Amino acid sequence: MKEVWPSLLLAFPVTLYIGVVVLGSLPSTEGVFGGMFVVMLLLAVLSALPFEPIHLWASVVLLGSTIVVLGALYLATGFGIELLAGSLLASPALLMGYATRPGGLGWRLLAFAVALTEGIGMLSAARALTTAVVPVTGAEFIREFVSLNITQITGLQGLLMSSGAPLPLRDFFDPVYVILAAIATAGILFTSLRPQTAWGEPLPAAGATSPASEVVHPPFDLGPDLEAALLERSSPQPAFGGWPPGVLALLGGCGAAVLVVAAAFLDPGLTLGLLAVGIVVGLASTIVVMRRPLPTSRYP
Amino acid sequence: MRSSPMLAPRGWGALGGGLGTLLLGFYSLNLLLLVLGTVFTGFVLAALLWFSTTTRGFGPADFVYERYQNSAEVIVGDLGSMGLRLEHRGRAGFFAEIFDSHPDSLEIAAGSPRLMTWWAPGAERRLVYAFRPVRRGGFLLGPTVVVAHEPFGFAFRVCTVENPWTVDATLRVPVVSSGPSAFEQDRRIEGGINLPIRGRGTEFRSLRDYETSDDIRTVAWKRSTMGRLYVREFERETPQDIVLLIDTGWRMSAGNVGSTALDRAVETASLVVRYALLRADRVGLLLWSGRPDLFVPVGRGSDLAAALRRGLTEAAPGPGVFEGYGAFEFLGSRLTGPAHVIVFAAPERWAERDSEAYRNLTRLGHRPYFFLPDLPEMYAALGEETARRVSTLVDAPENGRRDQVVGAVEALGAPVFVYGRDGPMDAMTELSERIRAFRRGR
Repeated sequence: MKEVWPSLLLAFPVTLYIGVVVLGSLPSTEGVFGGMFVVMLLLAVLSALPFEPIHLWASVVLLGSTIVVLGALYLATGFGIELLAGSLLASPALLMGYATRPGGLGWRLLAFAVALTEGIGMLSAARALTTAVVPVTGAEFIREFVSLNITQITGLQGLLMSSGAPLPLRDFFDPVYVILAAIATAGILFTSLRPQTAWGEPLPAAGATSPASEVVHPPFDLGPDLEAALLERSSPQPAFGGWPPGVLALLGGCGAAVLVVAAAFLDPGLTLGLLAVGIVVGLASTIVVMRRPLPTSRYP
Repeated sequence: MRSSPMLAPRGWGALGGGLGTLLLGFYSLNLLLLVLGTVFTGFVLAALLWFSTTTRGFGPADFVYERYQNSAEVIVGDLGSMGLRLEHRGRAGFFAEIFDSHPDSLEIAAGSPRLMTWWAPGAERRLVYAFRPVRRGGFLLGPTVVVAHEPFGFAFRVCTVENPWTVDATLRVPVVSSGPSAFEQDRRIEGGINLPIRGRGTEFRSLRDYETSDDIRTVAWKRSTMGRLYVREFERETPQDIVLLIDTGWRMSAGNVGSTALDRAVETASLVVRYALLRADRVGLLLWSGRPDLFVPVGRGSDLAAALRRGLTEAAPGPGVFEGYGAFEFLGSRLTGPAHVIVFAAPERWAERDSEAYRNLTRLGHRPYFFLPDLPEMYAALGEETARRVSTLVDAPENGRRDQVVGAVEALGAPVFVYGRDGPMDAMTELSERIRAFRRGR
């Protein structure tokens, strides 16, 4: 669990950045909006910490908050909408908290990607609202966020029909956000990309302390031959020499990303086609070489 | 046989997560998310393809093995050992999980039958471990399973190296070992006993006055005086046929692990075999659980000793229930001459047809002896008074069954010995005296 801390430190700044930019760029917000964001951010951080009792409390508080928000919405008061806006702003942090937890890699990657997508949407919405002359409330922030996503969907439909509809999410670019997202990616991969078996058991890694053949001192006499044989048995060994296993695959992934970026700069229209072809070829190759049925038992 | 690469659940998840990220990239068309999705998906696909390519042809032919420091026969509770040397002759290194399969009945006491390591081509890996059998039986060690893991746990390949090794876990009383040398060794243990010779007896009985028809070699010169000669009188010992009939039905599994009714029966039977073979008796074995599980016809010699040893070591309770008539009819039709039939059984009840089959057996000249386990007594006594009372209540039906069987068998005139968790060793003295009497023709 020691790896949780660096993972947290690397992954959470991007979510904090989203909150700070949104709250800071809106001309006027009520305190409930920001307060709820802070509370939910703390809950997200707590839920990511490796202390089980805190998870329990965090879950209880989260559940209580949800009940309050839903109740407030039901009563259709402005207070409830403000709470909802605060929760929405903190939702990338909650997703990031889940993404940093050990466990199912696929869901974690997906949670991470959704958090970043939400972040792009919220920052775009905040930019759009910055130009507003009237004081902005949490309700307006939610409305802008939803309308921005509707515009994006409409834009995608237009793209398929070759019309020039706006795509607000595509046009968003914030270098600080990109850098923080890259750092967060490193944080997420930090806990995932370590030598391990398909069942999550750690494999011997260079630099890690690997248990050597422990000296056998059992409470019985093994005899000199057996004791000597036990001492000469093999111990876990990491891969020494050459490329560390898996680094070539990581380089392959990065190389593909570089190709996409290069294509985007050369001809933005080429990017999607290149990606589509790459995915189809990659998946087809994998299907050909891998057995698809899930393993049912560890040993045959 | 080559092994196919298997996509692990973690691999499925990573691939799904990567594709999901790409989907979000396609939704937003934002370069950041597209790049992120490409990195994730590209990495997972590259990892899978790299692993599949480098471990192509992975299979048992890639490994050369040798077992050493291996025990073939271990007494229950004692230590046995196993060493396994494996050499990797494949063309690429991989993260390996090596596991030497072993049954749960062999507890690992030291070392480990499992190793996770990086395995470079040409490298040798050694697994060494000590194990302790917790129950009697013949156990198979191996095959050795080698799992090649993709470094991030996305996929793996499995192959099995067929290198089985049999370990016999025996009880404290050893069954006579197989092989002529071991058989000879057993004779030496007995203090150099000469096996009985056919014809004139070898067992000294008494001195008597010399008669003119006596062989001069039988004169006891030291005891004789001037004018009065004594001769030694010997008893002639006739080798006997002994058949062990052991119930391998589920009722014989009563008792604690390692000291069940069947374990005690096997222990005693082993002793009978040991001493019978030393005295040149002929021995046979029938394991019966409502049907014949194993039949070793009466005989002698090292092959028979090996067959008995294997049969007694591997005797295990099955689902059937012992019924006397079936076993007696089977023996009656298979035995060629009169034999002592030593029965270790826990029949549920004794029926009239069992008695009829018993009588048919005795009419053929066979002499059955019954060793019946007292099943409730096979367990350690409970300490508390309440527990004892409950146990008495629970045991009552079983005690009733035992009394019915014992009464019926005794009514037939057969010797009956009831044994508890200490086994029927004490009764063996009486039994050996009875057989000894037959050996001397009394």
